[in-house]
Amino acid sequence: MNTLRFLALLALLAPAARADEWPTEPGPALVDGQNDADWRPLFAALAAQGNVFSAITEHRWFPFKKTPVVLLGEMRLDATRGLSLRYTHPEERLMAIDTRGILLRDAHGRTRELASDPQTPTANTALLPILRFDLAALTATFDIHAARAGESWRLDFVPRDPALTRQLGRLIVRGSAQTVAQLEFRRSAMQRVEVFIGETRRGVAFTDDELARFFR
Amino acid sequence: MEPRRQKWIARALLALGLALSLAWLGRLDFSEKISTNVLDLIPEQERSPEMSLVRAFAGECQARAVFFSLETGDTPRRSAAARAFIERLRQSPAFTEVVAMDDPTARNELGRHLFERRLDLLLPAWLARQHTTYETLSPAEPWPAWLAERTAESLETFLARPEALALQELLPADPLLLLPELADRMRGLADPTTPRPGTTLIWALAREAPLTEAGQQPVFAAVEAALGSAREHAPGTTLRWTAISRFAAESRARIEREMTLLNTLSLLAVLAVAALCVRRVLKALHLAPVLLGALAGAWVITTLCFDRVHVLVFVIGSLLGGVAIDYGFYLYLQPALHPGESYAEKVRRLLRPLLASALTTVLGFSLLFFSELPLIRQLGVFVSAGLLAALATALLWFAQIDSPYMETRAFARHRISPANAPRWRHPARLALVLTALIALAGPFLLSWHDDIRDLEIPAPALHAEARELRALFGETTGRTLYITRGATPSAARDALEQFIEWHRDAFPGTDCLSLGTVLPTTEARQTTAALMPDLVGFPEALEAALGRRGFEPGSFAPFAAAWQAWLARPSPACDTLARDLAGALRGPTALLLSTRPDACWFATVATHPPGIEPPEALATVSIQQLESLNRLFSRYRFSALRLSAIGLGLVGLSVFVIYGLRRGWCIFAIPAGSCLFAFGMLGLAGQTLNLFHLLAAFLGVCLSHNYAIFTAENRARGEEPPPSIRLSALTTAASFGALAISQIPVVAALGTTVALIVLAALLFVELAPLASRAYTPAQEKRPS
Repeated sequence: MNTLRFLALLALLAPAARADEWPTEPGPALVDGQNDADWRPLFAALAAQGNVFSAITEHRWFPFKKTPVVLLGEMRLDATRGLSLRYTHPEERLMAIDTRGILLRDAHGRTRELASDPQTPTANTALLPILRFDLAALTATFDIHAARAGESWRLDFVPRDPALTRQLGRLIVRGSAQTVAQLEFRRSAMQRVEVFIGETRRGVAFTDDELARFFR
Repeated sequence: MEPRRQKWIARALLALGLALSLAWLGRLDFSEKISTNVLDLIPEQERSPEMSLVRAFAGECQARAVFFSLETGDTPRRSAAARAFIERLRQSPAFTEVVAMDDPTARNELGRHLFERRLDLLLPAWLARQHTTYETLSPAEPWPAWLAERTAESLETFLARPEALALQELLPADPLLLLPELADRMRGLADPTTPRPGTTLIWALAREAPLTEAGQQPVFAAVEAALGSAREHAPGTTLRWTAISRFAAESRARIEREMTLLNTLSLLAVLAVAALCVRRVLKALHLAPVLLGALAGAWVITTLCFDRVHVLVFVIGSLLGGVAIDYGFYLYLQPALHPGESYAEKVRRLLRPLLASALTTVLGFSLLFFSELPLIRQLGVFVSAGLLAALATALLWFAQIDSPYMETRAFARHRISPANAPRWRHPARLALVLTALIALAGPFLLSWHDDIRDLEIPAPALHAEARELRALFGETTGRTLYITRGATPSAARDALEQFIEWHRDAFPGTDCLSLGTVLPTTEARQTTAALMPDLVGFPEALEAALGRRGFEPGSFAPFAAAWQAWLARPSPACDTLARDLAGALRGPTALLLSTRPDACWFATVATHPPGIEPPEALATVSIQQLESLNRLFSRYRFSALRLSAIGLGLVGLSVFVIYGLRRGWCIFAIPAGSCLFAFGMLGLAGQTLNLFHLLAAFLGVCLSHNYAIFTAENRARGEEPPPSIRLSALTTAASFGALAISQIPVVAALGTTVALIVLAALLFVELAPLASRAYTPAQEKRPS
């Protein structure tokens, strides 16, 4: 794919809300029963969206590279199976995250499994409650900061476990109204991963073939 | 000789023999003299590569590894309980190393070593691969520029992979991706599974070899104490653990129990047959000294001849009683030929068959002394010495008792009456034809399989626990472990490369993981040396190529510094690299290679079930081959077969020399036919045979050979077969039948085979006269 076509594709997949409309700073910490009442409807609505399919664009920022590495793909979130990220560019690759751990599969079908350790919080065990917006599970693992600017909002999840902080950094979810527009895993300004959520279908029923291909 | 004097001389000789035996046996250190180590069954000078490896494993850390799964439950104090367990083990002198599997220290230490030595270890193979690609593609660019561009491109591609995020801090020092590629290649090599909550996996190394006493009880005591410490924090704590020392201790305990049980059963079986067949059972106690004399003689001579004797020799040899009692029976059950026949006259009359049978049997068994296998040599001496001692004891014992004759019950002497003989002719012939058919056809159904594990008592519960534990530690089923050896680490590494190439063709689509591949091959090192003059300025070229792809200038300075430092110092030898690598390994990973001068090898895990064995030229064997030693034992079987055939030939030849061709043939046909019948029956039963069936057949042939000689001698004198044959065959079948229930597969094999042969020989001795038209019972007479 030449650069022009690739950029055009990026523009098509650009998030619905523009970055400058989101709150730029984290909001105050949510405290159960004190200041979380305004946020509960959002969590409830996001939690109720069922299975989700989204086109995604991922930007990986490395400290030794001036421009991000751009990946394109699809995100599938299944209420029971977990999260599946299928990358289609620059190479076909699948990453499925569930309660058993992480499964990686390359274009040749070669599979690797990274088992989850129930005694140690890991990326997969932390990430799943965020994508399911399970407030009760989230408050056990994270300090949650919430901020709004009009319809747009920003939720910052700061792991309480220092090991998980080293692993994931801060997780930032940005959205507008009841739509998630961006996920960001931020270890520093130079080391971060931004996932832009594109066209999204909610309440999707994945076929058996999709479940077999994209989940464990 | 005057009878009274004869009695006293016999008593004096018996007392002397007994005193000498007790004196010798009394001063023995049995724990030192008797071995339960299965490896003592293999010749010390055995040079087969498999055996060298097995010996190395048995003495080295691979055998001393202990695997624990500590289940503390999901209590808040589980960490304290696990820590207490580990600390207590560390304090014990029985262990040299104790590692919690979730402790990253060992992994980090290895990672640090690999990072520091990455250019020495990993660059040669990387460079050789790149150069091969360059030559294959034949691009227009010069080699250094092409390499820099290709490296930058690979790095950029890598950044889109999931692992790039985890390894990003490493990349400025390793833009060649040496370590990420290694990590990818080694994934799954020694990864433990994630245990359930409340379970801690612990790996430990015992100080002493597991087959020694010092490697067993102190280890068990330390584990017990450590478990006690854990329970102080979490009372419900349970422990599953596996170690070779547990198997060894269990095996020894079982063999000891087995010896007691088999000896008791064997004795009871002999006594039961005697009680059934003789009129006065108490008189049968005169046979006991013959048994004791045989066993004492066998023990004394065997322990005199060998520094260490394997316990299996005594287990198998304890059944010597079944053979030894033959001579007692034959002497004791023979009535006087005429009233007033003296013992000396009786002995002169019976000495020829006794000596013929004993000496030919001893001749056959003494040939086993030339076997390669210590067990077979020891067994040959044990049986030969035992038989001679039995004969001597029988002759002396019955010389000093007043009435050296024991009458059998009528049915033990019963013969078909002349009137009924024709009626039995056809059934007897039919039975003989049937046995002949079995003897001729059955052996073609036999298959052979040798496995050293048949020498041990299986411990299913321990094996099941070991399988579970090893699975938790990452040993999944469906994988094959290979060992590649060499005279030096460098030679082993080159052999490993050849093996990997063979494996790629033999098992396409499967992976082959070995820590040995961390080391450079000789060829790769030579390629590197040849290419280096062109690559002095490679870091600058790479930086430029990376800059063209949007990388920050100066970010890869750590790599440039490492490259210049590497160029400035001499390249270490492969053997040094291997020993340094081995020195950096801790915990279970340390078991995956050995760089000791007498044992250089690398383990390779292949992701497929066991299949064809690599050719010997690759210096690689699978662990299955090592566990069974099938190839080695097959060689021993052929060696034993050759010796048995020669022994059998000598036995047959001596029979023909002593008895002439016609009578010799009649005598020899009985043991040979019985042996074929037994193999035929085993073949029809679908039994897989091994080396020990062969030995048993040899023993059985010698026994049945006795019956054939005694029958022929009596027939020559116009007498019916002596009743001692029935008693002997029944006692032997009963005692060897007891062996057939042994849990040790080879002992069961011995028991079954000998019992079958002996019963077949009895059948032939009984049926052959009945089936013969020439035979009429009237022609035979009973001794008065």
